[in-house]
Amino acid sequence: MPRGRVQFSSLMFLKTSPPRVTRRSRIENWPLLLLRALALLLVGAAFGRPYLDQFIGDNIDATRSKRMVILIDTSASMRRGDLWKDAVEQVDTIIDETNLNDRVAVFAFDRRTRQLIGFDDWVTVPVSERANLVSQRLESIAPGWSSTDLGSALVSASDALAEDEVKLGEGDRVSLQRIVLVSDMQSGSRLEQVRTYHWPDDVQVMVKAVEPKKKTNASLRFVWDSAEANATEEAKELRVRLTNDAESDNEQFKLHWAHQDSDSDQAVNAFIPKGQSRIVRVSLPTDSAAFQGANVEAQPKIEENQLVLVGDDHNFDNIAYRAPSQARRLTVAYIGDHASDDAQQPLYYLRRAFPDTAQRIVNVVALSPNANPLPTPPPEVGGLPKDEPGEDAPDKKKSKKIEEKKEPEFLPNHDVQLAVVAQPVSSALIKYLKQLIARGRTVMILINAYEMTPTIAQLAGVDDVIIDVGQVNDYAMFGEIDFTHPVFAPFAEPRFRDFTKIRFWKYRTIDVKPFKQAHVVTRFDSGDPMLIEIPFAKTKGKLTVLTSSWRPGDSQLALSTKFVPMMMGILEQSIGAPQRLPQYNVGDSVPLAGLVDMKKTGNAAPPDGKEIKIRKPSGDPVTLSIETDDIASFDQTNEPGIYTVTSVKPPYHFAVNLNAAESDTTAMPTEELEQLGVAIGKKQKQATKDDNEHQRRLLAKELESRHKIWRWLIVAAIVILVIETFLAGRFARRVHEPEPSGGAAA
Amino acid sequence: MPATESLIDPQTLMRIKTLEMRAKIVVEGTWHGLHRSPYHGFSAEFTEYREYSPGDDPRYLDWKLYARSDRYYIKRFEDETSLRCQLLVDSSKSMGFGSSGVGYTKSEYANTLAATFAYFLNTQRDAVGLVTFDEEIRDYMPARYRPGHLHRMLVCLERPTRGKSTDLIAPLERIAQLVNKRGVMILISDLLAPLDGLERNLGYLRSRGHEVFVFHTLDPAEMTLKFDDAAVFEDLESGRDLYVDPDLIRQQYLQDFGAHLEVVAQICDRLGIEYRRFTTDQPLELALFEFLRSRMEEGKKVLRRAAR
Repeated sequence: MPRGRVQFSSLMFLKTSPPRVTRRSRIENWPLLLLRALALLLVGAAFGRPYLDQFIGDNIDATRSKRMVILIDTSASMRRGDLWKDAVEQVDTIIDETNLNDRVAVFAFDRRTRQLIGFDDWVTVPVSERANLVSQRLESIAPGWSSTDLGSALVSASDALAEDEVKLGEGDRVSLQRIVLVSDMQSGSRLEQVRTYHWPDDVQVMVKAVEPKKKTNASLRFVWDSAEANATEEAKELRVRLTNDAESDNEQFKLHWAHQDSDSDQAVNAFIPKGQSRIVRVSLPTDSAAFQGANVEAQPKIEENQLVLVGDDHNFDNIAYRAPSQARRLTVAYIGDHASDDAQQPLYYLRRAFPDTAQRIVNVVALSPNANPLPTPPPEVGGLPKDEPGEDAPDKKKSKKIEEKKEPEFLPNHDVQLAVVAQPVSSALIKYLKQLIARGRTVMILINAYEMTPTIAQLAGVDDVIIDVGQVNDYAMFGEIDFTHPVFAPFAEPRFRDFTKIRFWKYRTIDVKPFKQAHVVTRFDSGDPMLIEIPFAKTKGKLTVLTSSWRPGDSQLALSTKFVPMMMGILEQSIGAPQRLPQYNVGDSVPLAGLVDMKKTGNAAPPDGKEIKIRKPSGDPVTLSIETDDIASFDQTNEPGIYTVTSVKPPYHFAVNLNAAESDTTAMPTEELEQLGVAIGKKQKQATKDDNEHQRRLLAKELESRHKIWRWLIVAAIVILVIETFLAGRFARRVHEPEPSGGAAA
Repeated sequence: MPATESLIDPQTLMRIKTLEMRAKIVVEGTWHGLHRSPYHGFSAEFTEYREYSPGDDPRYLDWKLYARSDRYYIKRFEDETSLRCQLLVDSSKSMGFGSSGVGYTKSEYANTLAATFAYFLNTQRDAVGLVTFDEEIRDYMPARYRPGHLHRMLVCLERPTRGKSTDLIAPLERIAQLVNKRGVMILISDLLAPLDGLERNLGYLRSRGHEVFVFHTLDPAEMTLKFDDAAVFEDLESGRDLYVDPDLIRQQYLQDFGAHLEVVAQICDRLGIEYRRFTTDQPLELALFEFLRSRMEEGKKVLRRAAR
């Protein structure tokens, strides 16, 4: 054998020679070779674990277990085609594949995550019954109408796994943690929760996506803006946003009202390219009385308020509902002996400060300061229905609006939302105003004379109120404004906050010190308080004091563009109820606070006023009790359609529509989840195979670690190597010895 | 072969790192034995005066004559040196071979030899030029006698061997084109290359009137193939590997190699070229002696050349 390399200047004159093989080397190396091979085999075997595989066989499943949460999507998009059936089948398959010692929990999710079967349920049920249990529970549920919050479902599942791990503690012998997600993986799923969640390394998500056979899906939704909402009663057209899915095959769709035929003249054809959305104008059904909004007391015909989309494969999101607009009626009481057409007095401007909108109609009721609105016995409720909760004023009241000045005794029956006091009032009225404050309303006092002192003192419950004339040099202006105050917050933006054009000719000063907790919202440029807010701790009621007024003799305030928003702000603050929207989504909570106000008008409560009755679109009645339930809002909006609050008159309708995101049914790539840090497992079949293999290996490893066979193998290898070294030494010596005598061995 | 006791042991010499020093030592050692003036017969001599005509270099005006005669005369000399020597040094990879018994490579030996010639000729104020080549010409320095020229040549010689293969043909052809003036060509190479065109190209040089010396530099191991063990032999130039058992093929090798050397010798003989073979364990002075000896005998020499 060549011993090495030799560098040579040129191989020009060299020829290769065949390597010489001597017999001697063959003979003497055999035993050593065998020994070395044996040693290598042993070392290889020692490190080549696990080799006990075959001894373990298939009973691996009996010894190891995995912890698994099955998440099944029950959102509205699962209503498409056979998706739900497929999903249930998928779950059944997964359950069939589970092992004896697995710990499984089944969760259903849409916008909320619900536990169907917990880990403990699973363990306590006999093994043979487990599959039955799952199919029973799955039968009891079906896809609802909610949107999909995949993020929170994943987080809940992951938390459940972690919780179970902690609970089991030391006894936990689970090698795999897994979440199996059975869903249509629609793009409209929300993932925000995962974004902020640190995904655990040992939890893998297996996505088992179910896909519909047909993919065309389009959805529709009414578009509302404020202008439209204002003009609803006059509007002949509604705007509808149509969205077509990116995977759709069809681009041609039709819109019609539910009570009409899709072939009728009023049906609208719409062309929407794939993956895009278009706004389409749909005229209101002309033959319908349902859209005359507030004037309708009768139950609106549901069909006439349903717009139907035709032309796609999945109709779960093909109906948009609209509720007839119902304006809220509010009453503002003006207390002052002024003619409503006297442009020199505040009333004239106050009447014009509250324009009617689709959502509210404000009546300004003037009241003599000497009137006694609170007769000792509760007044005869002239024509007013007993069960009427104050504010949704019936039309009769509207008709009395003109002569209300002469009939102040009706005032208590109005739920007055705001009282503006422009003149000193009688003690009876003071009592009434105090009641208003106690009910959480705001009473606004305009100080335009010294005589207002007792009124303020009595209302605020303070003795030493000092009013003086403010020193006006030419004119006074707004000095300081607290833009954090709700009334002035809308003006906070720089382009709206110019108040310099509003000039005050006269104002009064008032010492704020006696009023506890008084908050000076605005001040004049001289530093004197302009608008003072005195809250009452017990109720939400407020006493607001304006040290001037908006009549032309005092200021230009009423002429300013700031006047209307400011008064609206004060009114809204007094109502304290959130604005109602024209439409809600499934799962939204619908505020009822302003609608049903029974707590505050205890005496005016109807006999059955202890509860609120709401009829769902399906016809199921829901009863909310004032004592036990939170009546501030209605949360059971779990299906789309038109809901009716039947316990008020006229019944209040609100429309609940499918969440727009739910219609976005384009399949979401799993990479999107991965980008958020979720560990995605391989394709299910592959994964199961690999996992079994992996588990088997783990088990073999464990067995071996108990037996420590490899150590003995290494020891044997070392012994053999020692023998080999010894023998090799002997051979070498034997070979070298005869060599001087002529290398006879060769 | 002359007794080498008084000569410098090349192994000792090669331990001196500076090429210039090595050359100096060899040359001075040679002088000690020569006892002859190196200037004799080589000095520049005045030939004639020629009248100045516009365009002539004013440097050569003879101002003393002008002072005497009021005429401008140019003083003409014979060519500055009588000898223009071009050293052709093979710097191919095969020259990088040095057997373990010798301890230095053929290239080092050849470079020292070239440096010796250069230094020697420089001290004689002869113009010396240098060409290094492998498969093509690497460095070309025309023959000059200038301050610093020697140093530059020595720096050039100290560069390591670079090329892949030896190609004697192309460089010789190129040199024949480059060097116009007649002079002496000293080729220092191992000539380990196909000899096909060698005769023709050496013939070019001869035909241009150059006096050509070939110093065939070989390693002793190349002459004898004295390797003990079978091994993979790697060609320094091509990188080709060959498994060789020297014992088996030695005879064949010596035969082939001997034939190669014979061919080279014959070519040189035919062309009237001085051919000297040196193994790298031979003292360098011998080469210088050989060179000087043949220079002395030059006049007597008759070119015996086969008619073509």
